[in-house]
Amino acid sequence: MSRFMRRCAEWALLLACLSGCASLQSGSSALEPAGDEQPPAEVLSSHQDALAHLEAGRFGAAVEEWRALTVYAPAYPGPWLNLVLALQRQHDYVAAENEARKGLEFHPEFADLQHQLAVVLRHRGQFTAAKAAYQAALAMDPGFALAQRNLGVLCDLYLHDLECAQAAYAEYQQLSSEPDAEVNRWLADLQRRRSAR
Amino acid sequence: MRVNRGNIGWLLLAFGLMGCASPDPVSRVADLVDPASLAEGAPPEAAAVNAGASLANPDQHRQAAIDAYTAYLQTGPEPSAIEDAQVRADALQRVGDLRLQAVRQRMLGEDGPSEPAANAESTELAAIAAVYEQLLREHPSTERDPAVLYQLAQVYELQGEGEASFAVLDRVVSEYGPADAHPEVQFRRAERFYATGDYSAAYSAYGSLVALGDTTPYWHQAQYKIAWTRYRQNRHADALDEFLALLALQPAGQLKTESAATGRIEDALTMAARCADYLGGSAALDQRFGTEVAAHEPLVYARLAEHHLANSRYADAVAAWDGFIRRHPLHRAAPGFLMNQAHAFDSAGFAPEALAIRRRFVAEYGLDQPFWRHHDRAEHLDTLAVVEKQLDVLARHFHARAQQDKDSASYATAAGYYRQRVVQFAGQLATIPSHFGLADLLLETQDYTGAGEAYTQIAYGYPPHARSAEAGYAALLANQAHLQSLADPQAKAQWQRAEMYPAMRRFAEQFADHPKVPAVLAQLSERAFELGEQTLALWAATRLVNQYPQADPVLLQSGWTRLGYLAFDTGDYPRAEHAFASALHQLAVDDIARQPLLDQLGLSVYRQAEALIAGGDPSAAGSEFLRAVALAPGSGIEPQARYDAAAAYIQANDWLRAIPVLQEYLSRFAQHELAVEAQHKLAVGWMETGHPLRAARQWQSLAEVHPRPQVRREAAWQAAELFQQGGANGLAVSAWSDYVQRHPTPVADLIEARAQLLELYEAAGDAAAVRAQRRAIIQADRNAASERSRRTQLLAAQAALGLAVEQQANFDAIRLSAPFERSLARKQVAMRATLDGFEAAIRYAIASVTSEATYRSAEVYAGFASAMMDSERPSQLDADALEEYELLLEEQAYPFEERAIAIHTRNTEYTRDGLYDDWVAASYRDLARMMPARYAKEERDVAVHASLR
Repeated sequence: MSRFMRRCAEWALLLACLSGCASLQSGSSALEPAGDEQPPAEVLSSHQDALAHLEAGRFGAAVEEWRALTVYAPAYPGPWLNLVLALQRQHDYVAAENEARKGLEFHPEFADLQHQLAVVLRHRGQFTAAKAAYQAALAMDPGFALAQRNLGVLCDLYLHDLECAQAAYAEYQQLSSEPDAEVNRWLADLQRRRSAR
Repeated sequence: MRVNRGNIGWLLLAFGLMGCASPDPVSRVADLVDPASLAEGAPPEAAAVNAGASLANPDQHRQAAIDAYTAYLQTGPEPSAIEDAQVRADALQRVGDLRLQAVRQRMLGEDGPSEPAANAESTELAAIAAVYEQLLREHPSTERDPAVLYQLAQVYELQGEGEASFAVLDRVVSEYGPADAHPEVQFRRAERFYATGDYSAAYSAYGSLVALGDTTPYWHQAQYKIAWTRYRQNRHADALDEFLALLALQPAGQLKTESAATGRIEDALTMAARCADYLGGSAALDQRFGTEVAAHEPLVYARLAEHHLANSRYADAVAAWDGFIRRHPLHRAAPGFLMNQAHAFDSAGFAPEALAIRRRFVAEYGLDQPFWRHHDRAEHLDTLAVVEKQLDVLARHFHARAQQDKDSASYATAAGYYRQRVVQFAGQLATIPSHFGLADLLLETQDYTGAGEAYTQIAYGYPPHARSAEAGYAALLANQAHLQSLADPQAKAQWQRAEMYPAMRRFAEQFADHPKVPAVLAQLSERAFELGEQTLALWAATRLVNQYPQADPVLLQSGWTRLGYLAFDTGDYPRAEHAFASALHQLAVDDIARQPLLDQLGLSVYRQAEALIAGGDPSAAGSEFLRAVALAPGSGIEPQARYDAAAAYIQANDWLRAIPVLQEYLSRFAQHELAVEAQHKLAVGWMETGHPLRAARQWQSLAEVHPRPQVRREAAWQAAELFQQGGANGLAVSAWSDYVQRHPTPVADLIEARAQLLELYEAAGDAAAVRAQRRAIIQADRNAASERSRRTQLLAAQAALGLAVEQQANFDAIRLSAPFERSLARKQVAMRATLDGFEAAIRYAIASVTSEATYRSAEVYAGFASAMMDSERPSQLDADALEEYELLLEEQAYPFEERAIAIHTRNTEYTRDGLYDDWVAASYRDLARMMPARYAKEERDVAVHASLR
């Protein structure tokens, strides 16, 4: 357990006696980012620790650090996204969905997190919901090329919606700075399959 | 007539005669003469002598006077002077009278003079006669001579010279005028006629005296003697008239008592009776009395009856008394006369007649009869006593007769007399024996209500007496007898409420010291309780135990028992407990009556425990239930109390205390009706306390004994589950096996149980058993008919899939090797069987099974293609041939690969229906490998955020 987590545990006892975690969510915490101020050292340290864990393949430790940060410093969006990514590495898609949704409550315009929610939902077989999540991410960030690509895969393989897939791949190519050769092949294959139908 | 001093003696004599009455009255000339009166006629000297004599008695006094007069005559002056002659004459007369008086006195005072004495008296009489004869001779006087002659006649009489005496009297009449001038002489003459039997002359002489009226002292005597004269003449009717007339003349006061009428009255009554007898009895009397009752009338009738009775003429005596009663039934003497009749018959031995008279007596003179409207009871206490006695006599007589003859009429008669006695002499202590008689009689005749009332009156209707309590208790016995005679339960209840209970309570309160009171209280309490009279029952039992703590233990036990039930019924269980405990205290340890009391004691504590449950204190209730067991070991409530104690502890979630109680209960009462439920609770208890294997064994036991099949089945299920959870797989297999053997229905549970068995066999690596269970599951689902469900189909599909997977392993294990045709054939057969197995699983249309079966089917095809490509190459082929052989193999394998791709693609198509599981995902992975251009399309994640923002 990092120093930050120990401190969080100590605070938890105190805050639980006062008003519970809701007070933290209201943004009144000392850990809440204020403008361009430098994050508290403990938070930053914990985040760095998590990144190191993830890099080293210690997904469990990374999850632990980021989960603590999302609880005691939820206003920082990065830990939310990284937590979901770490859980994906563990193939814990149920937890990943839950954390993604909670993070979106704090950061409803966080397109990356919305995108990862779509990915997680696809892994869970909730294809329609995944499509909606991709579309939500694109609505947040219309230039979100990766979301278009992944939406194309969802429609292509899992929704068997070739038109949707073709449109998404095409949009992806549009948004990409350079045309993606692989995706060009996919578009060609799609065209062929559509013609064969 | 001038009365001088000498005449006084004559008058006294005449009156003395009148006082001499006798049945045959001979003249009593020599009656007593008062010496004092004689002294009045004495000469002054003699009087002086008399005055100074100071003699002790009259005889001495008289003799002194005689001596004085005699001395005077001997020594006194010659009778020359007229005055002296007169004095001497008086002295002579006085001496004569005194000496005659003395003689008479002596003659009357002696029983009979001795011969010398008689001779002396004769001499004296002769001397006296000489004195009188001297007086007549020497001092003739027309005034004095009749009296002197009368005295002389007496002397002659005493001398036995009747004729001489009578001649002297005739001389008086002939020489000194008519009889009315000399009534005393006439009376002597009448007496003389009567004495000599000349009744006609006597009647005439007496008649002349009567005619003078009461101006003479002889009137009454003459009247009396006239009646006698008629009687002597046998003129009985006249005699009766005369006697009755004589009696009628008597003042009422002298007739009041029969014995007081001495002399003439007594004689008159006797003679009237004799006369009436001569004349035919009471009828002769009836004719002579008027409607108004005369004072002497009852005396005459009574004397007539006595006259008959003296001659043993009982019927005539009865007739005599009855004669008067008929005429004057309301007369004060009438009741007595009637009772005289009864006594007469008694004396004669005529019992029936005496009885009839007694019955008539109480009928006519009972206190409710007219007689008593005319007479004050206070003045007729004797008659009251007779009525009282006769009622007693009659009642006892008929009662005794009834008891002997068993005669209902006699019983009724006796009861009637008893009642008269009780009513007419109500409230008197003397009435109590008769009242008892009445009550006893009513009891004998089974008139229990009447007997009860009578005993009650005796007990409470009199001032307290020695037998009050006895009567009070007898009343209770009569009431009890009446109760037993009643058949109708409603009537019984009404009788008890209205009569018996109040009587018992009254008895207990009034006669608290009576030895039977404890028993009465015990009985009252018990019966009142049975009839729902709780208040009364409580009162009686409380009084019994509080006031009679030394009573018979049996009674005390009854009282305490009743108090116990009463308290119990009102929900006062602590008090009930105390009462039942006290009742038990009265019993010996081996008394068989203890058991029901023990049961009640236990139940009382048990109810207190229930109250604790209701009050929300189950822990305390559990202890209280066990206290009930401890207080009443062996009571009927024990098993229930033990069970409920455990239940209470369970309610308090105190399993550690509940479990030993349940174990004790089951060890003692394995056959109790709640034993099965206790086993159930014990099983739960073991589960709650973390002992699944003990719980499992308990469920297993319950599965054997519970009467309800469903519970047995559920218990068997629980046992198997718990063995399995506890890791006792061997026991679990046994339990599940037992379950499927015993409980083929419901099919769903049977299939679930086989699924558990399947799991255990899989864990044990028992392939044959696993296979058998899968087949059994498939078969059970197939035969489930209406019980078939998605669950059974799922399990059956999984079983079918499992069988197919087993086939697939067989298929995979077959390598294509030389001889190639043979191994190929085997592999083809295995592939066909495997694919059929997956097809069978897919037919269940269970998504999760379908995706796996589909994936595995694709694997089979892909595996067959791989097996072909990996098959052993023929060794004799050269390079070209081998190359050609390889191409041929690829051509042969390619359709199987295509088939595999098609099946995987089909599996991915399930996503259209929302199915996406590991097997679909696996198909996507295999397709990405087999058709990368189309399926090797992975999503890309966004990059990890290195910053916090």
